Amino acid sequence: MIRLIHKRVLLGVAAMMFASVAQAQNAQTPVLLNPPEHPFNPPGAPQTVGGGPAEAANTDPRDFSGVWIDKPSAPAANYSIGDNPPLTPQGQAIYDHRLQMFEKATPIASPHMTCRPTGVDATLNPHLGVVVMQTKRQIAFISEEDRNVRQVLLGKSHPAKLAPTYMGNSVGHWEGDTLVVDTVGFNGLGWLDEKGVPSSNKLHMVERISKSADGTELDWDVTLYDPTYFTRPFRVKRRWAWASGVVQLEYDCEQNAPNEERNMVFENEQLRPICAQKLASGDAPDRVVCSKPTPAKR
Amino acid sequence: MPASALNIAGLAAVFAMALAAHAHAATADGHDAFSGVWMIEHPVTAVKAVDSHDPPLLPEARKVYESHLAARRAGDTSYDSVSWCAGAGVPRLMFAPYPFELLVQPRRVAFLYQWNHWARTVDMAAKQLDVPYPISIGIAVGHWEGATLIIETTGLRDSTLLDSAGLPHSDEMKLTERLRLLGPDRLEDRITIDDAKTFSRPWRTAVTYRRKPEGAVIKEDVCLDRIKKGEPAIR
Repeated sequence: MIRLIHKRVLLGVAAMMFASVAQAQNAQTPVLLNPPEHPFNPPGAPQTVGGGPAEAANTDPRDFSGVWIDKPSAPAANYSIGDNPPLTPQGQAIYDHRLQMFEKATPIASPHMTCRPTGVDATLNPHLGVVVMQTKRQIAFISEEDRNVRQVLLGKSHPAKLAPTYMGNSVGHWEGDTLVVDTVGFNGLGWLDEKGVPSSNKLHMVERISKSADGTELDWDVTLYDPTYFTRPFRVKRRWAWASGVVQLEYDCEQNAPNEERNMVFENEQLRPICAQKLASGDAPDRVVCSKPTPAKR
Repeated sequence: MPASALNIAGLAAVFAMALAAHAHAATADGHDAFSGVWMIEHPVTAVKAVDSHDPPLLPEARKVYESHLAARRAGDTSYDSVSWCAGAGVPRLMFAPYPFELLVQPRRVAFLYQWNHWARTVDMAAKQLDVPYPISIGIAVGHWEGATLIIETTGLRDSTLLDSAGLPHSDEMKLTERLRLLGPDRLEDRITIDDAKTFSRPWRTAVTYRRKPEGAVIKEDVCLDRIKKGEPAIR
């Protein structure tokens, strides 16, 4: 299942690149396995599926709980944070290299491709249903894809000492009926989208999220600040739609790790797999055991 | 309309309102008391039934289990997909010595497990959900019986194990969990395991959790990064 997802992602990126570059006359039109207009009915095994009880959108502007799905502004638009991000020369060089390596079918390994939490890329570009849980103290965004679990603590400040993470540390507060989320503490490994826009550990993301009066849309106005890779703040807009009756399944990336399958290149050693061996011709990858056994007492 | 019919309608309305108020109050109690960060009190590496007996394995499943135990004694955990950081699934996630956060709302309950950033959600509105294919965390529906949260899970993939010792199960397993508070800061999960392909009868086990202090948070845990540092995939 997961290998299907990865292929879908690659095809999605390919579609986007062909659309934006438009250079190859005889390039085959890539087929999106999971076109955004039919998010729950991909051919083959479904990931997020329907079939749950219908759930009416609620009109409380400060209650985001429920299930949502990103509505890309154009097919495959949610594989990219936008054209021409204002990159510094250093950022542009990384980005260009990632695009070139992808075109040569030797893609650079990203956290997404190597079963790590995907961070901003998954936050801004979810391709499957996102369950939102909300209590007085927090709003949690639970994405099926990448198992991106994002907890926004309400009314809190960032801790003074932050261990850097893929997801960063998110705190939120209400300004009127707009939820303002502030995220810092990234580890610098994350990509901002699947094309490969880089981010540093100085990345700072500010999201302003508000709900439509009828409760069926979430509007995201996101500003990304990264003095290492961006020459100026970069704004990204997203729109999520209420998704009634969606049931999340799971994304067990490590069980289906396709790491060696696509001739990945590792710009950061941390992401190099030690568990999966080269795939034979069959479906299941051979694996090496990569963890010491824990003592089991009986 | 005769007066008696009016009275009956009026009584019914009052009764319905009282029921609704009661249901709301019960759910609100559940929210406040169950939500929080919990840590298992006595981590389970080899699960036993509540009467301390071994799980009632059928002969074929016993052979599989014993082969796992022998392999582990020899330092070989290749039978355990968690050793390459694949999903531990339930109930094993409920047995592991890592905190989890419970978020309770009327429509859904979510478990946010620290171990390798897993989460599972429980649909509190569905009586039953289709299982498109078995997965490690299964498909879960729940309801409240008074102050007890009942969770029924099916669609559990048979490539996972019930515990770190290597207790197997089939994909026909059904789990019924009964979660209740034993006190303000203690939570119990009584789990009934019903799997006629693996066990000769349904059997029960139980685990307890202690609430982590105010301000506790689930930390980002990345199994693949952890094993690169030489740490075990799961404790």
